[in-house]
Amino acid sequence: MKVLFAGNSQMSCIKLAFDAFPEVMKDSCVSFYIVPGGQGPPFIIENKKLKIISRHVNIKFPPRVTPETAKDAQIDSYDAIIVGALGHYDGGFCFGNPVLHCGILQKYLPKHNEHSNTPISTVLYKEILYAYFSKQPGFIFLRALRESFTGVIIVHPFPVPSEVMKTHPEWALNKMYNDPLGAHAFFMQLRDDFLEKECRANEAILLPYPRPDYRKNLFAPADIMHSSDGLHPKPEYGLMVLRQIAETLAACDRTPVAVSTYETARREACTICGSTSFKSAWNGRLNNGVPPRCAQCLSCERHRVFRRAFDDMPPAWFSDKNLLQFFNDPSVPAERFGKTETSIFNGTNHLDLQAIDRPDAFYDWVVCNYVLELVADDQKAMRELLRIIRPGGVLLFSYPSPIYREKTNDWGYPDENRAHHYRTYGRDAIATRFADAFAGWYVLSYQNDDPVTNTPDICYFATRDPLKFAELRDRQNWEVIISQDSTPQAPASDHL
Amino acid sequence: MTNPYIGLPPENYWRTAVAQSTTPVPKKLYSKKWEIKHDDKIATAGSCFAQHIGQRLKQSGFSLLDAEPAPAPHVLDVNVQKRFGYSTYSARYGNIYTTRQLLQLARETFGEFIPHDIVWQGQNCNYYDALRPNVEPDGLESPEEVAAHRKYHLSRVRELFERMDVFIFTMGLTEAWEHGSKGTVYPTAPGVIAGEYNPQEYIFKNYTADEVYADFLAFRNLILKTRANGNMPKFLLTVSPVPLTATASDKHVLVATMHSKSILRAVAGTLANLFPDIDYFPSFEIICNPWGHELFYEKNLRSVTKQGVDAVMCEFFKEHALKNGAPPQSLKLASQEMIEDNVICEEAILEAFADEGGKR
Repeated sequence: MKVLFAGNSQMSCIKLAFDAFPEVMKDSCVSFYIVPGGQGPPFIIENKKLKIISRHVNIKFPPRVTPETAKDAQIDSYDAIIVGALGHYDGGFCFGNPVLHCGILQKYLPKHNEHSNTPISTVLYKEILYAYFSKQPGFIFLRALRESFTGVIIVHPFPVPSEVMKTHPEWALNKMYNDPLGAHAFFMQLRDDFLEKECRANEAILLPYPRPDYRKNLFAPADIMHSSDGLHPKPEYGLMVLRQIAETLAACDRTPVAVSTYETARREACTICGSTSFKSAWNGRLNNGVPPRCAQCLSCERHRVFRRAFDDMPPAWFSDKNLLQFFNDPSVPAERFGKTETSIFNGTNHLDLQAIDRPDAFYDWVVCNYVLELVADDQKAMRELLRIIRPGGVLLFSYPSPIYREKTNDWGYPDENRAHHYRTYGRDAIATRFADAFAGWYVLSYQNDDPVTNTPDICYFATRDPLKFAELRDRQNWEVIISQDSTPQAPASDHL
Repeated sequence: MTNPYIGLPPENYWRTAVAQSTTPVPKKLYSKKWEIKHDDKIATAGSCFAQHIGQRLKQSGFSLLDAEPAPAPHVLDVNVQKRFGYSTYSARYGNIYTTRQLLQLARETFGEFIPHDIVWQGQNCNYYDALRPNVEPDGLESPEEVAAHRKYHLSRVRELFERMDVFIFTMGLTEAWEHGSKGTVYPTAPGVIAGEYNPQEYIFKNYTADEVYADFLAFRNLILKTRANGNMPKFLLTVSPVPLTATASDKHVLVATMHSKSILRAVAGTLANLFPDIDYFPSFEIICNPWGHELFYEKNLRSVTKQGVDAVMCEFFKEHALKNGAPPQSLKLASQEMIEDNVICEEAILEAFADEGGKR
C-alpha cells in the first residue's frame, strides 16, 4: 500500500517515529510531505499533484519531502493519504491567536486585562471558530483532496497540548480567564465537533487522540511534548499515532472501503461525454454509494438527466438557433446551437435575472437550470426569462427539488445553511407560483434517471409553439403540465 | 388678478411635479439643509428600514461609524454577523422602533435611567436582553451574562453618541410595550421572542405626536449636553415606509399604520422646520406614493423592494454626493444584494402569529 503523510510541523513527530520504527508501517510504502505551519498542510492540487501555496512557506522552516520524488508524485499513485494536523486554534504559550483574543466568554470568568473585553456568547463563538477552521489551509486541502482523490483519507487531529500549559503564565487562556480549563474544554470540544463534521462530509477517517485519557484530561503528559511551545509532540507521541494509522490502514485493507466498490456499483457511462471515470462531488458527497461527478466533464446527476431531455428533441430545433444559458451548464449541448451566449454570475457577462438587459423576443432558446432558487424575486425572473424568448422559442429550466416534494417552501431569504437558496420548489410551482407568467404558454416536464447513480430529476420545457408542444407531449418521460385549448391558438407575438 | 399660487416653480404643482413626472421619483423632492461631509462620522439607528440606509452609505464610502464591530470580522461571514446584530447599525442595539426607545437608550447610556425587568427568558430557557432580544438568536446562558453583554454594549453606545457628527434616525412606530409601573419600553412585546406576557405588568402604548416630539427633542438635548467640546452633531430624520405587521390597538392594521406614520411624519417635519441642526429626508414619500405601489413594495405590500431602496438612496446621493463621484447606479453591487435582502426585523416575527388570531 502506498501511503503519503501530508502535514505540518505537528507531523514531524510521526516522521521521526517512522524513521526510528519503520517496521510499524512494514506493509506500506511511505512518503512524507511536511510543510511547517500551524494551520494544516497548505496544499492545493494542480494537475493531480500537491502544490504548496507559496505564501504559507516559512523560509526558516522549509518543506521536508521524503523521498524527494514525492514532490512530483500524482496523488492517484497513493492508496491512502494522511492529513494532519487539523484544528489549530491555540498558539500555546508562544504564539497568540486572534481567534482566542477576539472576545471573552463570561462563563469562564474573564480577567480584565489588555485582551479584548468584547463579550461573546458560546453560540457565536462556535460560529467564529467554525468559520476560522473552514478557512484554514488544512481543511481547504482536505476538501480539495476529497474532490480529486478516491483513496483512503485519514485525518490526524491537532495534538492535545502539553500539561505545562496549565500553569504557564503566557498561555492565552491563563491570561484571559480565571477558569482557563473551562475555556480550554469548551474550545477543544468545538474543535472535535468540527473535525468530526468535516471528516464525515469528506468521507475521511478521523483518528482519535492517541490515548483517551489525553482527551479526558484535556492535556498530554509533559514528557511526551516538547517544551518549546507546548504544542509539538515528541516522537513518543508520534509513535502512538503511527501505530493508530497502521492499524487503521490494515483495517481498510481487510474491509475494502467504498472506493473499491465504486466500479461495480456504477451502471452506465456519462450521458454527456461518455466517460466512465467518476469522483465524489463537493464535500466528498456520494450518491447511492457511487461518486456522482464525471471526472471528465464534471457533470453531476442532474446535468446528465437534463442532457437526456436535449437528446430527446429533434436536432433541427437547435441548429442556427441562438441560445442564452445561465452559467456554463454541462447539460447544454452548446455545439448543437448556432450561437451561444453565457451569463456568468459576477462574471463579464452577468445578466440580472430580475431585469435581464436584453430586448424582448431576443433568443430562440434560454436555459436556466438551478438558478431561480437563488433569486429573491423568482416570479419576476420567470417573467423576464419568458420576455426575451422569441415566438416559437423555448425555455428549459429546472430547480431543486420538485422531484422530491409536492409543495414549494419559500423561506424568503438566502439561507446560508441551505446554500443561500431562498426556497425549495415543489411540483406545485408551475401551476401556482408561476401561473401568471405562463399564461399562453405550453409547459411540459421531463423526468428521467441519471444512468450513473440511478437518481431521478426533473426539468421543464416551456414554449408558445403548439407544434413543438405536440411533438413532445406523447413521448415517454414527457408530461403535460400546462396545455392550452384543444385547438391551440397561434402564439401571440407580444402577449407579455 | 393675482394669487399666491401663480408663478411658483414646477415642483410646487402636483400636475407638473408628480402626475407628469417621467421618472419613478419626481425631481427636486429633497434639498439638503446642510452638507454631510465624507469625513463626517455618521451613526445610524432606527427601525428595520434604517438598515438599508446604513448599508448603502457604507458601500458608497461615507464614514459610517461602527462602535461595536463583530468579533473576528475577517473570518465571520457578514450574514452571520448580521444574525447576531453586528454590522447592522452603528452599534449592536438592534431595531429602535420608537423615539421613546431611543431616548431610553441614551438616558441609560449616560446613567440617567436604569431600565427595569430587562432579562427575559425564552422558550429554550436561555436568557435574552429584553431591550434588544434579537441580537442573540439563541439567548445567553445566565442573567449575569446578559448584564455583562449589556454593560459592554452601553459603553460602545456611549462612545458612539460622543463621537458621531451626524445621526441618521429612521422613525418606525408609535406603538410599543412598556413596563406598567416602571415605564421601561421594550422593542418587542413580551412573549414574541422571549419573556412572558402578563397584562398586569406590561401595558400597550401608542405614543402621541406630542410624546414623539418631546422624546426626540429630549434625546437631542441629552446628546448636545454631553458634548463639552462644542462639536455638535446634526440629526437627519427619516420615516420608515414599512407598514405595521400587526397592531395591538383596536384599529384595523391599515388605519393603525396610517395613524402611526402620520404622527411620525408630522413630528419629523416639525422638528426639521424648527431646528437648524435637524433635517428630514423623504424616504417615506418616495416609497409611499400613488405610483410607488407596484415598483417599491414586495408582494406582501410591506417589504420595500430593492428597486425602492435604490430609488431612496439615489435621491439621497443626489444631494449628498458619493465620495468617489461615481453615479448612483454603481451602488448596485451584485455581491451585496443577498446581504441587503437579509434585513433583520423583529416585527416580521409577528407574522408568525397572524394565523393564531386572539391567541397572541
